[in-house]
Amino acid sequence: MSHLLAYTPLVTPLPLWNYWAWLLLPLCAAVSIVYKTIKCRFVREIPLQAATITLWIILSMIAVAAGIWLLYQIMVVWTA
Amino acid sequence: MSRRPVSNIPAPLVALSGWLLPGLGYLLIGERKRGLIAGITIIATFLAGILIGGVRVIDVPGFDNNGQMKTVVMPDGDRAATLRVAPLQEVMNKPWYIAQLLMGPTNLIATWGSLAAATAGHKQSTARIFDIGTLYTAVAGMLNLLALIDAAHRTTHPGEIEDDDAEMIEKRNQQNEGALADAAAVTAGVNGSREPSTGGPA
Repeated sequence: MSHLLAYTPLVTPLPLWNYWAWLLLPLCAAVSIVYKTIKCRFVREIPLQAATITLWIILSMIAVAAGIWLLYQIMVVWTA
Repeated sequence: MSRRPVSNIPAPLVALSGWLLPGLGYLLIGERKRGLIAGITIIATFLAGILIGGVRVIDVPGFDNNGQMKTVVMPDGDRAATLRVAPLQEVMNKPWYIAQLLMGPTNLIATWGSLAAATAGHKQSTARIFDIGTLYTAVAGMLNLLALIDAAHRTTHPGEIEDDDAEMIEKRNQQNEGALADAAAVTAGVNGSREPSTGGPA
């Protein structure tokens, strides 16, 4: 509670230490939006295309995380 | 849909505008919606990084953790700023600043804020929160680099755009051409009045 009382926006960091992984989602959305803003010929195409690529980035990150977790299980846990 | 006419604004000026304010390059070449989407997203990402990790995620090369300029003792006994003596090494110690610098004056304001916060005794955030904040601000800078390159490229490469944007570009180009013609007429008038008279009395 004390860290909330001393909080100064833009100067003090947000107390999000336990939720840091969720902060990657808005970053994925921002990268997707700007990327599709550059790539799309027409502006009206941007929302759908950006949403699609955001979903793909998140699914890919989940797949990579699952792959690394599986590799860890095989290399460290199961062979120990 | 209309074909976007080639803009009469030079590509380097468009790129510089994009660096000064994210999205401004697109606005200059008449792509208002694209400029607003890119600009708002990039600035929001940069501000989100500062909001998450605190303004001290802008880690300025050449300055220590207390916001004081780092110095070294020279062979002649004088002190010199590290940034002046070994600028490349200083920047390579804090490479994220290069990406953050691509945000232009927005980052320079944040740099001032970061040094002021450091001088006032605000510590840097730690661990992942610092990393995430740095990542947001650096990615915003790199996205701005992409956007300004794209805007400069579109200046000289016509393509299909929204009708209202095309009308605005045409109108602006006509205004620019009109202003140039007026300036040329004024210049010609001035030159004409300065021509020496040949048939006057001696």
